[in-house]
Amino acid sequence: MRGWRFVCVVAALLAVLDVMVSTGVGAQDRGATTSDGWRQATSGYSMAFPRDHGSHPDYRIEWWYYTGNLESADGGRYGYQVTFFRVGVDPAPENPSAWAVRDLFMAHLAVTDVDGGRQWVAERLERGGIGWAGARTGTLEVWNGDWQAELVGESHSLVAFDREFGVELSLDPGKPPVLHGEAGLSQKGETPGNASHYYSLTRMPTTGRLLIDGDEVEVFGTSWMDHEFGTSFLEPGQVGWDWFSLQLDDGSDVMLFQLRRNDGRAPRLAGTWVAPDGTTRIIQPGDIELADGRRWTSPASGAVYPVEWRLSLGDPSAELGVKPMLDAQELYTEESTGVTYWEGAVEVSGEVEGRPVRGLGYLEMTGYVGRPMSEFFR
Amino acid sequence: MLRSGPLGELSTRAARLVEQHAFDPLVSIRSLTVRFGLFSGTKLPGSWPRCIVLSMHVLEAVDLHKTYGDGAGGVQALAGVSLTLSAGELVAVVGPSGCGKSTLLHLCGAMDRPTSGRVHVGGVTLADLDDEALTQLRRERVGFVFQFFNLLPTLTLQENIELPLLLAGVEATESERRARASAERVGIEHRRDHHPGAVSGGELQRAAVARALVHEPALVIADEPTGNLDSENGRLVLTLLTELTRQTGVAMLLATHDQAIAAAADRVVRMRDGLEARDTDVTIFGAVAPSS
Amino acid sequence: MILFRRFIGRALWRDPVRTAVTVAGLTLGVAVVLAIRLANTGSVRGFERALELVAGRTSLELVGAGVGVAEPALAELGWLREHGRVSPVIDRTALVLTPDGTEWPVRVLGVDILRDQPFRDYRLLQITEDNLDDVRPQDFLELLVDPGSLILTEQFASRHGLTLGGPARLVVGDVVHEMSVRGLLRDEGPARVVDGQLALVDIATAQWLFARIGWVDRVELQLFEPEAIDEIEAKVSARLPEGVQVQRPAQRGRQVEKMLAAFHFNLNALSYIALIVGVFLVYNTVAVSVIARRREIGTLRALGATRGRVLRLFLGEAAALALVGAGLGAPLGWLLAQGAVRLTSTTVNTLYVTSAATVPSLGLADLLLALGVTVPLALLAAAQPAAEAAAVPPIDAVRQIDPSAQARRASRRPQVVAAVAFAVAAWCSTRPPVDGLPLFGLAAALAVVLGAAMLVPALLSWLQRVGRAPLARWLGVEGLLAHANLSAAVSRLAVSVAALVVSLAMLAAIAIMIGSFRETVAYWVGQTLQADLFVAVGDRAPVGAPLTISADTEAQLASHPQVRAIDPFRNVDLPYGPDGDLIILGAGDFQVLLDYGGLLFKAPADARTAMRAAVDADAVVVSEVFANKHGVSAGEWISLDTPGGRRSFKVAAVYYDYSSDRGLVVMDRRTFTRHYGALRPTGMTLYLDPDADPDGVRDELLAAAGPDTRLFIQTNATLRQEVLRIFDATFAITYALEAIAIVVAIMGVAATLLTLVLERRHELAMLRLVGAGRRQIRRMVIIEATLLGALSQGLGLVVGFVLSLILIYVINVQSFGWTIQFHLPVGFLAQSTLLVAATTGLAGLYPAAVAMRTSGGDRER
Repeated sequence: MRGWRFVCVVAALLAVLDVMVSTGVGAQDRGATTSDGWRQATSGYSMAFPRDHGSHPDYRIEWWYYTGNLESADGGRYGYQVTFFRVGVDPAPENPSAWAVRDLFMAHLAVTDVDGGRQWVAERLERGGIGWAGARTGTLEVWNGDWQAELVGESHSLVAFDREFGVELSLDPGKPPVLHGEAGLSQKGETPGNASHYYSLTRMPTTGRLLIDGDEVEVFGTSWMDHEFGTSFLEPGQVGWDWFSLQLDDGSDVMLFQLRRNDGRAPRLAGTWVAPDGTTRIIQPGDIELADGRRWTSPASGAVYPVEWRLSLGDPSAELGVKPMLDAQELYTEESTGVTYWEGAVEVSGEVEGRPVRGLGYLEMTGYVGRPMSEFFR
Repeated sequence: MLRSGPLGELSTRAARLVEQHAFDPLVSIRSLTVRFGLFSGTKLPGSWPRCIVLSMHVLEAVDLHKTYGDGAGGVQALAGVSLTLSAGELVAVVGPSGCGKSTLLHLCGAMDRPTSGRVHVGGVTLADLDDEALTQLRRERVGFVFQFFNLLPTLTLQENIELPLLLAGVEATESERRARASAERVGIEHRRDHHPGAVSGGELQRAAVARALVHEPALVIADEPTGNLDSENGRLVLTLLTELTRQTGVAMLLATHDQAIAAAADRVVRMRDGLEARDTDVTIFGAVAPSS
Repeated sequence: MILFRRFIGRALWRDPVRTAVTVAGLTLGVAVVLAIRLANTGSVRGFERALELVAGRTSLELVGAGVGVAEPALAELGWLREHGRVSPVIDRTALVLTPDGTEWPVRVLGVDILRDQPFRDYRLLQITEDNLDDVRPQDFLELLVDPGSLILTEQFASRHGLTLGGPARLVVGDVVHEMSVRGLLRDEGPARVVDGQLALVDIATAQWLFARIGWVDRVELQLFEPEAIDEIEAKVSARLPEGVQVQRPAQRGRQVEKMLAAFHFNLNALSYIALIVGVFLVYNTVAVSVIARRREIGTLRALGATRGRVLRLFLGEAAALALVGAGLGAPLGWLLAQGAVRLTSTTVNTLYVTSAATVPSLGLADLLLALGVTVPLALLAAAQPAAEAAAVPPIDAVRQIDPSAQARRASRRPQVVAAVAFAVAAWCSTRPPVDGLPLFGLAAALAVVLGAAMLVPALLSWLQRVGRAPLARWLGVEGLLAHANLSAAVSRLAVSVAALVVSLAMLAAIAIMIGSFRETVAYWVGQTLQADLFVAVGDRAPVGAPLTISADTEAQLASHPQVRAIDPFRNVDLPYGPDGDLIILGAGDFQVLLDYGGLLFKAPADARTAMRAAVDADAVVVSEVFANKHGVSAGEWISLDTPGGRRSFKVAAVYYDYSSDRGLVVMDRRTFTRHYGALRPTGMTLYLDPDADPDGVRDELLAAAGPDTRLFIQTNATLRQEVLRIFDATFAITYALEAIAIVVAIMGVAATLLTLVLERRHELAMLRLVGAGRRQIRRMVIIEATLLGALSQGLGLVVGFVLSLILIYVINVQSFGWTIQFHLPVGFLAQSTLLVAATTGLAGLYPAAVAMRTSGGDRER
């Protein structure tokens, strides 16, 4: 879900997204493949691991998304985000050159120093070319330059360094993969086919080191991994979204999102509850209430973000307050990819079925500045 | 030469003036006044009454020999001529062509060096001077009038007259003024801006006379000044030379083969075959009618 | 200063023709020197400017051995990101067929725009108009990602009627690609290269278009810490795999500069001939004025001008002439440079690199150079006559002066100088080149010229003694009078004649050299060009921008029933040796060459056997130039950089080649492909059945290729003509330079004659009085002029012969390394002799007219 931002940007700028939306809409007539050769995310796909950690080049869009809250031995708090994207451009380029663009690969690295009150951001955009970026099929190995995520034994190894900051982490799988939606098919739009295959590893014990402002810090903590692939997701009218991944101290994990619309209709809501034992259940849209709270105005972009939220769930019943670790976790990228959004580490507190809980998580808010997201879909 | 600042310059000049003329202080002061404009507004008068005491020779040539070429093939032009000339004196050297009178004049005018013998100009022995000093001596103490005028064809008459002043480094407006005065004195002011090619021979020679006198030399050498002129013009030039000699007190050495001219001179030196034929002392000649 | 203005300035002004001739001569001399300098800088600057614009912010670049960097090697270079941004580039030249029916070469830059944008300032016209923000890489990629897309510059598009979104036809080799203009670049950064002749395409598109799949031309590196470039360059260099080198972008400019150095050096040296002749004119003018104004100088001296003053006056005359000459020469030089650029860029483009040479604008430095060279030279030239003037005694104001008396006093000193000069010349001819430049050779030539000039007075005196009788016999009384007049003026004529002799000698020498060279090349062409048909793409392939023949075309050519064998060839530039000289590495089919071709071998004796052994072996044949320049002989081994690292190749044979002075190394195409990968050939030679008609086959092949074909097929006969045509075009500038020098020298003769005539006014008037007709006077003056011309040409031929030996056997060998067989272009020399005599005769017309006028009604004073 939360990789959309990049997808939108790149896809829109490649001037293929209008095709993508329309083919997405029309895909129901043609079955599982769009007119330009990409496979649609439809039911009947069954996930298997580690195969599905690998790349799915038949689908247009795919991402691997790692976020986490980390702590150093002396109590310093940190957040990080490492994401890899693959966006298909042409499934079978005519030009035999290795540089012919089949896919574009992007990667995003962000590290938040909560106590230092600062966030670092770097990003990369590459074509596959001669293998300077890519993703393997069959197992987890995705890279962009020297940033990479791969499976070492059972663990996910994550390495991404910019010149002054970066991460080198080892993530244990923790709970088994959580398949969102119906057996991993997460419906995004109202039209069948506007969906993705989506699973998460929601609670991954993590150790490793961070590079912050040139200094190395040994850290440990918990990460969350999303892997999602599909071909067409979005529908016109969607301005942006708010997405939560929360890890509670009672062992439960929660994924929630709302897709905000600009046509006056109510946002589309969805969620998954993961019990401490790894069992999951879909949180029905009717059982979700999201109320935005305190706002923070970005000095860089002027955008006003609701950085505090109140979540009310019906089944299981929960009242959760979400607060950012740091207000200034906006990713201002006007000079590169050009879309600005807020993504950052949050802490959560409240009660679940009457018991008080606390927790950590990540929050992503898009569509608060500049042109509405829907315009990228023109 | 002592040349340290204007005063040094002045004193050097003054000393030289005295040395050149060696006459009474009055003349010296007048001369200084005129030359250096000590009293402003002083102008060179058209006719300048003179009171000259002939106490020292401006030119003294002693036993001059000159041989052109060397060895047996050499031609002896002068074979021992002596001559003295005082300020305000006009001496004519006469004799047939090839008698050596031009050679004598060249040696006296520091244009050439004798094979033997001595020349003193204003008490300075020429043999002691190097080429540079000799040039300076010519520039400051000698004026020349040539048979063929030797005016530079690229220069106007005025500019030709200015030439000695320019060469001596006199400042442009000053030299222009003095050259104009000099041209007026010889009566060619109306031709001043003509080039030598555009005026008559008489005018050319008058310009040459003006040039010879413009820097107020002590000695003027005039080699056949009328030799290239018709008789009328010749007479005019001669009159001019005699008058100027009287007015300025310059010592004038003039070569000619014209007996009439010789008659106008204070003294006549007759030459034959490089030797003086007879030296007639005519110091008392005094007034000679210009028309003679 | 006043005196200078009046005495010298007015004299110059009074004699306007002579002054004008002198100034004109000097002006031309200065102009030629400056023009060649500007043109030379222009051709290198044109290349370097393009280089800079394209290099953008690139700090370092990685280059492969002649053919670029292979992708497997490139894939291993990920570590470069530690040091900075990395962008692989394909940099080529292609043609754009424009809607206005013309075709233009464009620099095609193939880049991965995602990586490349920080390197260069690309500004897109369309997007920048509605959004002032910088265009993001993705926007660019969107425009370029389609394989049919290209981006042109606004300048180029608007000039040739190409529109955004419209089609563009791009010609690569013999293939026309239908492309679409997806963007227009504003006139900034790389878009300024060569007048906007730039096309930007995606790197994948470029690889495809130029058949370079699997290769890039170079990899550019933009350092994070540009200030640490030395250190990083060393680090990178140490870590690079074999076959890949790191260098700075300017390195390519330096290589080109070095490659052109010999060519430019020789042009420069030639250009100075005209200036030296011009300086001779200054000498002439000052000398003549000293002689003519001796009496005036004497008068000045008598009136009190010191020797120093007189010296300064005449040095001032030379300086004034030089100042005016340089002042006028500088702008004229700039104008001439425009023409020179056209002439030289043909050569540069034919033989060296493609660059749009533009004449740099005239800078203060050029003016200062013009002054700095001309004024001292003029002062030097005037030193002797000025010193003579200073030595004039005051007595000369009244002395009768006999000008010819001086000639009789002629000392033996000039002959001694001449002897020393010839000895120096002989010694210098045996010295090796300095830094690849024939400095000693040129010194030898200069010494010969100096010696010859010194001998001129003696020769003239001798000719004067023996010439009287024949002249009187053949040309009657006018001849006799002419002889008498010239005899009287030997001393001052010597200067003018020497100047003319020097320029004519150089012309003769250069004519002999070029004639010999041409003869040699013609012979070589006859021996070497054995094939029946020669296939190339386009009229002529510019160096560095190979126009390749596609595989389809090759197959089509081979399928013709009368084609017996095909030898495809391909050249690449390869740095060689410790200095990284760019040599030409060629690939040909040795088997076909052995069976059908006719290489002219220099060594070894059994070269064909050696070459047979080189088929598909690590062996090469090298050109004579290569062997000479790099001291290599047959049987030795040389190391060449290949994409796989440095490899050793045996030199199987040395052969004669006159197609390039850069040195050629040729290997069998199988060997080449093994080391450098398969490259499409740039040309093919076809050998036909013995009974085939080459013209017929040519027409059939062209017909089969279709009406739109880019193929250019020449028969043996037409190619030979073409080779000689290119040869002649190459030497066009040489002739132009020489012609100017001769014009200047002839001006000198005319000026001298004019002076003589003016001085002899009285004499001429007297001649008229004793009954000479005006026509006879004219005839006399023209005879004088023609005699001088003929005499000078005669001497010039002799000296030129000696000079040509130095040119051919010393200078040429040292700067180009070619063997040239001596050959006397008799016809040309005979023609030029007649021409010079006629021209000097004509140059005598003006003095003759003056003489007639003067002797006619001039009022004597």
